[in-house]
Amino acid sequence: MKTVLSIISYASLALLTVPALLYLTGTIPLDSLKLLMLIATILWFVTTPLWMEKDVN
Amino acid sequence: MRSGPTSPKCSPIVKILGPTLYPNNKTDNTVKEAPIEELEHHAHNEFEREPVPKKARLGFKSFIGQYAGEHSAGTELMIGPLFVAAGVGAFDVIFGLIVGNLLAVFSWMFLCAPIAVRARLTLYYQLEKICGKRMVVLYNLANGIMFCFLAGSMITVSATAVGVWFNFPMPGLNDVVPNSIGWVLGVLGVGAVISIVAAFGYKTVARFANIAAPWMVLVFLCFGIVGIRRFIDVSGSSLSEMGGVWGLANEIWKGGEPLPGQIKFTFWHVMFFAWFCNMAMHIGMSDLSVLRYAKKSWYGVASAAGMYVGHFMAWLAASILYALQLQIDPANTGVLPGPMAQAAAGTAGLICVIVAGWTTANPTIYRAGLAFQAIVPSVSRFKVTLATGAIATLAGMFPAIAMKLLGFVAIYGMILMPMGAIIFVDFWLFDKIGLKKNYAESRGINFYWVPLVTWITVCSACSWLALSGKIGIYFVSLPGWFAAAGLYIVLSKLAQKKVHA
Repeated sequence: MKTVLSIISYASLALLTVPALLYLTGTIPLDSLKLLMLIATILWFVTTPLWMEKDVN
Repeated sequence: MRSGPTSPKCSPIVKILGPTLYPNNKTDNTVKEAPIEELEHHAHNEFEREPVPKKARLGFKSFIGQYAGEHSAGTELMIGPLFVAAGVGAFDVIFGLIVGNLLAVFSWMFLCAPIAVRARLTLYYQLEKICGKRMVVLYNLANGIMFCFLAGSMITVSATAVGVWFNFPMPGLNDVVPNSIGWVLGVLGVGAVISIVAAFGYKTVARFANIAAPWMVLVFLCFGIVGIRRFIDVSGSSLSEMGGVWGLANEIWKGGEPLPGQIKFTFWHVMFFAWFCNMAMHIGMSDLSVLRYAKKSWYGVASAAGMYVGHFMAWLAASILYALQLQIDPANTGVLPGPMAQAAAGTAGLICVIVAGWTTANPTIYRAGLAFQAIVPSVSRFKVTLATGAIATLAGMFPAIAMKLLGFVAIYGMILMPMGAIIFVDFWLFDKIGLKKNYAESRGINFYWVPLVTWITVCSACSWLALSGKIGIYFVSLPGWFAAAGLYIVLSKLAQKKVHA
């Protein structure tokens, strides 16, 4: 379970940054970028607390 | 600037951060939510008055994580734009930051860390040995006041994001006092939440900050990437028309005259600012408390993670957003991280501004509270932290502090710098020149006047030089350090000769 959650967390970080790069290249519009960044943010804060602290402990 | 939360066992970072968070080394040792009193109980086991033993020392990776997270704070979103407002040019800002941050890393590596790994004591205990307990109280007072103002500017940053949601008028670049009831209420609301949380549930936010750090750093990066694209679009020309990447950089950081009310920044201003903005920590030796856990002194190089993530990438990214704002409307000069972040990254950007301000103001208020509590130990920590938060909130209402953050940070470093010079000279030179090191301890006194006179004299002289315009506030701490070192030696010779005669 921890592995799955950590994969989702890291994927959310990719979801945060890749759209910015796509926006830089003109592939996606700004509104889509903002929406994807918000989704990535929610995913990060929902999944990360479930594994990060357990991991470092 | 500096932030930095956490708790000892939830991350290795905490083991070293603890002493920084708790000025009198009141660190906690538990992962479970615990009341402050319980944390204090644990604190006494954290090598508060003894060298850190071998078994408690930490590896290099712990320091990388700490410095990277700690230097990505809400204030980075103010500092970057203020460079643009100061009319900085592309070469000056990019190479000034590269060199200045390198000098900061060298200061950690060659000034702070070598003493930290030899003495393995906290700054406060080291100071107590040299100056006596009462002098440490004065140091705490100065530190606490500075922390209050710093926390105030972090509250200001968060309040600019709240202002986007509630749409109240926000302060301009040269505003000194609050400009609307909405702004006052916004800051009051943010400050109240932060202060109450700092007094009650500090550890929860500390944990949250740990989790938020990687996300926050990447959002800062996204600010820069999005800002570049939008800047090109708004300019109405292509990258090749601008002359490539360097041409674009020269469009973003145009140079020329600063905005009204701002000081012109050159390469030297940027370099010295980057070097000295954490002066209290490296040259001022605050990070003795952190680096005493390092196995080797070269671990000080880990500070590069904080410098080049927070003080290079984040500053540049934030400055790009402000340059974009000026490109769209040159009359819109307000440095307001909230609206800038919202324009670039929408709600995620706003959340980032609030989180960055909140997670960094929280430990800063807590630290300030601890510093003050050391002065009035009879008052409960809860009350002191609440009162400290109230002062920080009041400070946050006055936009002058955040809008003049560059100058404030330089003053902060200057005020705490002489103590670093005193520790350096005492540790390395006193034996060699026949003077007694750790004088207060060896004489069994609570107050040694030489450090106090050195401190006051150097701060007064530096302030006079800066106020009279003879040396800029960004540069004055360099000669100030040498003056402090020299004066401390001369006065010590006089004092010790008199005693031993």
